[in-house]
Amino acid sequence: MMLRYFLKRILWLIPTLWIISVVVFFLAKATKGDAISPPRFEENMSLKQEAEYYKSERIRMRLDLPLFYFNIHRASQTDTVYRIPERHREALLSLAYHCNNWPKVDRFYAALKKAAFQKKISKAAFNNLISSYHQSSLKANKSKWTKEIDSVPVLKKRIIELQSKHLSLDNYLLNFKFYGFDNQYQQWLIRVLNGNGAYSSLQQKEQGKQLLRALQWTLGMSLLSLFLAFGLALLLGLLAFKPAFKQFKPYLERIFLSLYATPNFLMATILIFFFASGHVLKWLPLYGIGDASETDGTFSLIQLRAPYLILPLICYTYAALAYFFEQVKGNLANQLKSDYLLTAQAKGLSYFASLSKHALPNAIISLISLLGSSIPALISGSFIIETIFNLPGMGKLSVEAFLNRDYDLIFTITLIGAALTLLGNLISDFAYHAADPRISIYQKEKAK
Amino acid sequence: MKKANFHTLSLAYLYLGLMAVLGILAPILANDKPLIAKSENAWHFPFLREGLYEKSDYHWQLNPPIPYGEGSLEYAQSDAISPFDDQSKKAWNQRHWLGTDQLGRDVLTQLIYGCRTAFWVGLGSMLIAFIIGIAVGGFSAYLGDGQLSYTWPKYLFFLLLGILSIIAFTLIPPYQVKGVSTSQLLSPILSICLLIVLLLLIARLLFKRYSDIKSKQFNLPLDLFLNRLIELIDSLPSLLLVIALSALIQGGVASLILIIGLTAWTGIAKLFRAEVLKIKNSPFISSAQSLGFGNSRILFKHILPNALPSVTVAISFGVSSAILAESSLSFLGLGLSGAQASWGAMIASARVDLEAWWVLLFPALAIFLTLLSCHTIGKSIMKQQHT
Repeated sequence: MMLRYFLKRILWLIPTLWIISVVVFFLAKATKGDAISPPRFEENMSLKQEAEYYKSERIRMRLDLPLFYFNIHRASQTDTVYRIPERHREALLSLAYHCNNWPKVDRFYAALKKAAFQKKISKAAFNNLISSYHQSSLKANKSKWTKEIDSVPVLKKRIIELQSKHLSLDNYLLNFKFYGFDNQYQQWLIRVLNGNGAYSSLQQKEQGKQLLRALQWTLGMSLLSLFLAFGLALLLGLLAFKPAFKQFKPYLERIFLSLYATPNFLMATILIFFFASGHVLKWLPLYGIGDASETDGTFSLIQLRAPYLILPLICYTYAALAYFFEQVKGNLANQLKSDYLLTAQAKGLSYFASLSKHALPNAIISLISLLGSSIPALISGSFIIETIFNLPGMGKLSVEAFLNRDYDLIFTITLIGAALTLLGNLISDFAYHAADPRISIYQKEKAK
Repeated sequence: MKKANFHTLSLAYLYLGLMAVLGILAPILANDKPLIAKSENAWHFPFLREGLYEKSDYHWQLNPPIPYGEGSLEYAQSDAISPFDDQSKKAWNQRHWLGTDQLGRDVLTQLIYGCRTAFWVGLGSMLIAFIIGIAVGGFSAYLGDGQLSYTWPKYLFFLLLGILSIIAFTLIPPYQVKGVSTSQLLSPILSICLLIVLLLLIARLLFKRYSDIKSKQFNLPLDLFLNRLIELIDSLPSLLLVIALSALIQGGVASLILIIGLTAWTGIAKLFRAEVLKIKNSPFISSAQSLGFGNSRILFKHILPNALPSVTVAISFGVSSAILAESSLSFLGLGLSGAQASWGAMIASARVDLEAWWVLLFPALAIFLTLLSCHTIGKSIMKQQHT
């Protein structure tokens, strides 16, 4: 039963991730800003050179492929929209809507391009004629550029053709087109699956490596802090219930509530102020990961990097610790009321032994399910902590990507983050089941 | 112990109320323009006017207690001014009570305008999250298991409707709305609406003619769908999601509120769903059902008033996480533009020069106390509900 359940969960993972990937891909595509940066010395370039630059860039970035497996579009528009360069697409599609006929627009565009490449019309005239959305504005513009248009009879003919009325229902009809598997989405997905991310301002080859390294850093730090928080929370939870320490319990609770309410960027700034800036103490380095060479042994590497990682680790851990402590406390309080613990204490077990041997395992089980759900919070935390302490992890990478407007990279990281979380949830549910086979997660979900 | 708890709780409410008042009154409390002024023949309210204020000669004017605006800079000083420095100001109210930051902005003014930002973000995004969360949670719990069952022709019709609405969305031009006339935008939508109406009529006719098809009904697994959706959104790290969405929706506080609201509703939805499920199985609902009350009457008159109080916990925690998200983003420089004051941005600017402790301390205290108050209130409500 449980095996079947987990197989089902794993199978569910695939469509979920696929849907996320599609959503993420289209989000990345919908973000404003041009994918191709304009060429340097654009002013001095001839139109032909410019067009060639854009063409080569589009091929390099594989923008010359259809966007997705299929497309639904107005019948008045072309099914090969992806072949129009991005900078002209909006204008031409708008023109196609007003003319109600794509071939006319296509012929106009071709004639315009030809005239411009042969330098029969000026660059300004070309740009202006392209971006004249409506026929009315085309007419108005015509007067301005009449002389240049008149010198190219073919172009003039095309413009007159554009202005002629074309009655059809094409604007209200839909066409469906299947493009096959050679499309931008597929290419992007393959690159992501290869761990290669998307193209960005950074070097393509380097980026794959960088992404992997960043993933290692973030995962390593989060898992370390997760286990640290888990262990500490258990220990403190046990101590808090010890009769000798009972008077400290309210203070401990208040401290943890305050810790939980402290934003991590504030905590990091305060810690830096006290321990690293030199205003109070200068015990620890400010940021970075230290200059370690690849040839150093593991031990010396750890020795070198440990001081750099103490503050980030504290920032990663404290909020999770406060949260776990709260849960441990609640669980243990429930266990303490139960009869079996009374029995254990009655037969002479010490307080600590009775709690750690009997109550703790029970308390742990319900904590395990929290591990998976705390992964998103840890990744969210990594953004700030890695940026402040300059650790080369995913968070810093995505903040940099955002500041560079490198949306492809941001969405790749989003996808990786989602995959990690889903996987974490699955693993923690599995561990939950493994820790206590009596609890059927199937039932747990139903009870939810 | 009990008395002390009550004390902290009322302190928390008091603090949040104070922050809200400060936030709402910010332009009146701190402004570089006079509040009310009288020239020869008219009264003026310069603080309501946008843009730069040009000093003009009024007969009489009432200045705000803090004569610095959100963007006012102290040009004479190139360094941060400490609150304890001898500031040698002409008037008592020109003194920077909490000092200035490195750019010469008055810390107290920034703090008050930061209140305003936090207030709007906390309230606005939670309102959006509340509406979405209640709708999703309520539908998924109340109509989820077996309440919605339809015959297969109806499913077919829904499918068609879904496909058509997707098409309607794809037909909105892929190019920018700027420069595109509204008729161009509306025509496909209108035509599709017409089509849907036509289909509805046809479907009605068909259902009447072939009513015997209705023999078998299938359940609509709405609960499953909505739960998957919640799981999907929860599986994305929230800050990453907000950052990714803010790449899409760019703008000031309003877009930030929208984004945070759109990502923060899952907690409310989950809580509300659980509560509605619990209430739905209670006897008074089944008696209402047996009396023949309609779905909407039961939902709005019987379930909603009983289930809503449970959401307050999620809201009070949600407000704190919304404020936290905004200040985190502003701290990273990804949130609001520099012109708008935010506690997070203030702390970020304090990091440049930690010597100026006053730039760090006051926003830090403000944000810490706000979050602490929200948590305290949330916890006390939780305790109340458990007992």
